[in-house]
Amino acid sequence: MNHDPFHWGKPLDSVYGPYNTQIAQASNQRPENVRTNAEFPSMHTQQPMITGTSVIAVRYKDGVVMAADNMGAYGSLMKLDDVERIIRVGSETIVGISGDISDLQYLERILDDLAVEDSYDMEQDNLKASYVHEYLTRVLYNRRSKMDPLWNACIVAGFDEEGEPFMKYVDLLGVSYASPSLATGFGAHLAIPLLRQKADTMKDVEKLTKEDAVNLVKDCMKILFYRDARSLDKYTLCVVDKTTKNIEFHKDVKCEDMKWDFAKHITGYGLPQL
Amino acid sequence: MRQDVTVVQNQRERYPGDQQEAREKAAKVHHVARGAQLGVAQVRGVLGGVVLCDQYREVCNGKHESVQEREPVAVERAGEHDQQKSNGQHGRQPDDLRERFRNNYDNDATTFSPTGRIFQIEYALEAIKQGSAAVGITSKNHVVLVALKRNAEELGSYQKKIIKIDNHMGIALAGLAPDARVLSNFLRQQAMSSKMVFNRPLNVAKAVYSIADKAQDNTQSAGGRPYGVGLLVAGIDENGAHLYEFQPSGSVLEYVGAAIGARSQAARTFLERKYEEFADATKEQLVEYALTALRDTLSQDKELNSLNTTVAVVGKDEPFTIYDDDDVQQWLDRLDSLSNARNRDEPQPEQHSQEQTEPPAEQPAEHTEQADRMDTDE
Repeated sequence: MNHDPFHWGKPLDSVYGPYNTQIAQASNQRPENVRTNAEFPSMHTQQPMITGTSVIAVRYKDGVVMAADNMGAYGSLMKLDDVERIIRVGSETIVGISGDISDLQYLERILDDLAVEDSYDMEQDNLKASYVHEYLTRVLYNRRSKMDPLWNACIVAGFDEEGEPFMKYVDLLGVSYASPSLATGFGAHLAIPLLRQKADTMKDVEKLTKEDAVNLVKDCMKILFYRDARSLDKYTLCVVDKTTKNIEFHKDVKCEDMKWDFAKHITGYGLPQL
Repeated sequence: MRQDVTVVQNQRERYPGDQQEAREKAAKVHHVARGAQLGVAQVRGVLGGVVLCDQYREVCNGKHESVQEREPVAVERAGEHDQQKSNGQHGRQPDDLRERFRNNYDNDATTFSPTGRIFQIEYALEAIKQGSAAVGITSKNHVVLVALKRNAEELGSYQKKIIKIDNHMGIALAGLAPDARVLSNFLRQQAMSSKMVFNRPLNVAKAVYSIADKAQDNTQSAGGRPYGVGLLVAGIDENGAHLYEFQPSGSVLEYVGAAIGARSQAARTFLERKYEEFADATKEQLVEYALTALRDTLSQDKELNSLNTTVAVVGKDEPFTIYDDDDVQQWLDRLDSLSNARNRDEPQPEQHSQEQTEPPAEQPAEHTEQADRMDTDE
């Protein structure tokens, strides 16, 4: 047994011969004459670079409210403050994307291609939110199966085949589920409990008005800005409404009525406070 | 020799508007016709029709095929008549003569004739007429396909005429069954991929245009041939019930009622009389209408039975279902009679007049093989 962590899980060269780099389509081999330790199976994205934080969304009786802030973080640095992370696909779908921003841009492009292709041969818009969600699930699962995931978690919202409100989650592993309250990233920890207070079951959803849902989501965005160090107080809020058959986009919404008095009492992170 | 000269004069009279060049070329006909080789009787036999023109065309090195095509249809028909009489003679003619009668514009599907026709495509459309009939009808919520199956011989099985594509879609075919299998496999793949990628039943229009594009490809690349099959594509999608007719030319049209295959004109005649009742018909009525239309395509001494009839139904909340053999009996039981009205000696003046007023179809030029054709015409 070789106890070097680098060799964990590898058969002993002395017993089984050298590691066969052909396994798993190893593509980053050096030329024959250069023998190094780099003879690994091919590797892809191991971590996201510039990231967007949570997307949160909640069902109400006539539709869906979704919000995502406009920040692109490079580690803890606020690299970008104008990233639009809720994208439109066709006229009946929005997709809120968190995670790697370059992968977000890739998804934005393939979803746009999808909408364009759909409008080629159809006179009316046939791209329902449920179709977009299924497509995204296939794309993300396919990429994870190539060991090259798109580092994102998405919430797809809009109208389904029957014109009913639709809201479903899918992430970089291709995991997909629906629930009256959804959130990605940090929001899954911080916002979900708050959202579930108002919208835990579809019964609750029946009682939730649009105004209440919007206020609930705004509240959650505020809480997230308080507690998530990679978040921004400027965000986009979308409302999918069945009664108007419309998707409202509210850009540059600010967190309101915040109190930061407590901040001066916080100590212990980095330099001591004055 | 004198006969030959008359031929040329006839040509001049028939085409007074022709170019001077054409007249000069026409004058050469009798030189080449070589009375010694072509007996006088032969020349007379082909006088009114296609064959003469083929000969003429060959003389002119293919430049004047237009002459043949400008020939009024009625004359062409007369030519057919002559041919049938002299068919036996043709068989005995030397090969170079047969060579003469060949159409120069049907060697591949990419060549236009000077009048803008593509013969290989027209031949492909003829292949559909060789197949037994298929009929399709739509109402608001249902589409019905029915077809007449043939068996090659008494002990053989019957040809499959209706193929399920997906729960919401199916096709009926007339023509080359293997070509239909290729197309239906393609459609199935499309349907499965739509289900897999989008969780969405394949849109019927999208499906039918996807095979239309494949068919069109075959009309624009050399070395291939057009599909030799016509399809009726029935399906339900978000826009309701649809029935499309697909042709090897790549053309696709939507219908409330359509019929393809041998003697399908008889079925169309029936559909044209009844189509206003289709939209609100129940599923059962729709099948009745379709089977009645199909019955009209039967040849003499044939009748519909559970072995040779196939029925398929697809509805808004009803998956595509094919009824064959014993299952089809329930539908046949709904008909008052299983044989063709014309074969039962009941006068059907309406139908006959309709068929007579039907404009005679423009036939491709090659008629010399008429004898080996199956009986397909109405």
